Amino acid sequence: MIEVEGLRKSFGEVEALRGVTLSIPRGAVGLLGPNGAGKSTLIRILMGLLKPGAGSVCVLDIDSVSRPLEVRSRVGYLPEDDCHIPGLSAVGYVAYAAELSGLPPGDAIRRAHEVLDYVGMDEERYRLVETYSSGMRQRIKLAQAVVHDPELLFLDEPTNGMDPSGREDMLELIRDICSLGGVSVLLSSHLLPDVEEVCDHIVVLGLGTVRLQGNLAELRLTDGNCFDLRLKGETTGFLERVSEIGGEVHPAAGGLLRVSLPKETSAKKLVEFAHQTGVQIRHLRVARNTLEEVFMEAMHEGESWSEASATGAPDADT
Amino acid sequence: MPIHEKGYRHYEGKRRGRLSRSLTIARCGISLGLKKRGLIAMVLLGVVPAFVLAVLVYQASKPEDFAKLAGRFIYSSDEWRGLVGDAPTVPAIWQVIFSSFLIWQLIPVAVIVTYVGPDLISRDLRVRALQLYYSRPLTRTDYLLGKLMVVGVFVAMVTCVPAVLIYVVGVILSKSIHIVADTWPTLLGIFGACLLTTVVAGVIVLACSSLSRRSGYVALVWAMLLVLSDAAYGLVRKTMGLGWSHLLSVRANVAQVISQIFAVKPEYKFDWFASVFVLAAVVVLAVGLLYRRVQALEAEH
Repeated sequence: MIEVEGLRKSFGEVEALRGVTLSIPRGAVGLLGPNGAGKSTLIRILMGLLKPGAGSVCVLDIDSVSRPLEVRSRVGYLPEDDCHIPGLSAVGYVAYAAELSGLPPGDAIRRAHEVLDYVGMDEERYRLVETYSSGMRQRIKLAQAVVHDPELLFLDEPTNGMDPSGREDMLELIRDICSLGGVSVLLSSHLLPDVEEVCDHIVVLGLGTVRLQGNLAELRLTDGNCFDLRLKGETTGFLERVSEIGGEVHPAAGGLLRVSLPKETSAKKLVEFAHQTGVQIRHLRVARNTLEEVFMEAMHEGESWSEASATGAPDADT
Repeated sequence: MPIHEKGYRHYEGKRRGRLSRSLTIARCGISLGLKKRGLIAMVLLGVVPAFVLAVLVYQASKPEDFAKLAGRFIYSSDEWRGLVGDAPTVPAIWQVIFSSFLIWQLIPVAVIVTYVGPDLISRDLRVRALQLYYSRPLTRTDYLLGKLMVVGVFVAMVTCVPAVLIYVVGVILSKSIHIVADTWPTLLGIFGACLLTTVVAGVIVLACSSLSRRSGYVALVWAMLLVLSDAAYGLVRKTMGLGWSHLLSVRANVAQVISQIFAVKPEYKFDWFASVFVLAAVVVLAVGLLYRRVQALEAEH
């Protein structure tokens, strides 16, 4: 869906992107990174709004540098900031967006009503957009982004300013657009739970470089010999037995214990120890990292890599 | 269980070409403009001089009577003879009165553009609507052309539209279709003058509008430009008596070129080409500024 190679972009002396290479498949993809990581610059280049200093960018098999209009006719964009035109109702605004994408006026109005139904706007669609709450504005922004039926959606913080139930609705809509509508989604967000709920692939940017990219389920997997446990009973003996064979135990989220066993040892050993020490195992599963852990690890690795590069220290792993 | 599932549906209809995008922007701008009652009042007031034009066109069907009327109320006899010659014809009279009307209309045009122009880009900056435009398949030129069309339509409402209507009424009153063969340059002149006024006023006001999010400041800058350029012209003419002093005024240059379009006696005794050059330079500068600003804003958003 998106192929980027050796992408560089500078604003004066500030290097926003430093040789970004990406291959993003169809589906829902999360774009993560702290402020200043280069996410917005990357999206703007993907949409053909900015010309890169170096590198190539292909979106939906179209070169977005030489054919930006073609790209923009096939993608939708939900901006982070509020953007509306005072004096227009939601129907007028969404129909206007449709016409700007080339839909004839009659089709634009019909399609505007269709997508406003879809995002859950009822009679309030006839009110002026400037009178809407921030949650309703987010829905309108989603409606204008999909009104011309794009193949790819760029969503920049789509749940900004929404209450918990509105947020749930919005994420449900995004999942639906992606899975049932067949529209690919690139979701840029600071809210990791949003990305975790919607996306099956992530890209982590940090200081203009790609820190991590891949399938989220695979990235969350640990080395395979790490387990999350919940125990009942006196656990001291159990934990000592684990330590004796070279295992490590750390507290994990949800009151669980994360146990790392040596490579040659299997989970059967844990059951054995529990039996020997009289402890009940109430929960046992292969450990998976949360997205937050994956993200933090990627950022830390990136930082140590950057520091090593900056000091010129040799690093065999990099 | 829902009876009607409102799931995501694909659009399989046709899509229109690039020009439609500018027309869409123009249509939206016009409909938003027409929601301002003040603007509608300005347009209606701006059309009032057209009634005078209508009376003049009616009177022009009798050139001798018209000469008396014109000599009594508008020009001195010598001035009138200087404009249309000793034996004026209907086409010659029409050229003079239509060009005078369009030059006079530069005042209502300035007021209307002050009302409609400043909001065009600055409002988009204020509400961050540029993101809506730039995420669509349209270029900077499409966007600016759409905005220019908004100015063009409101300018036409007080120049082209009444002038063409009165031209048509004049043709009907003349009871001879041959008058069209004699007066077609007047009709072309009306369109030419309207286009010139739109381009000059539109491009300058759009350039001003791209400079600030606050329409009030933009309106002030635009009004100051017109007033100061006219004031500079008046000052230089009075103190130094220079023949080219009108080149300092935007309005005077437009008036000079309109006179040339209608091939009537020029407003100022100076080569009209100098006014064309000044206006071209102003337009090129404004377009350059406009593109630079919009490009910067595009990258920013």
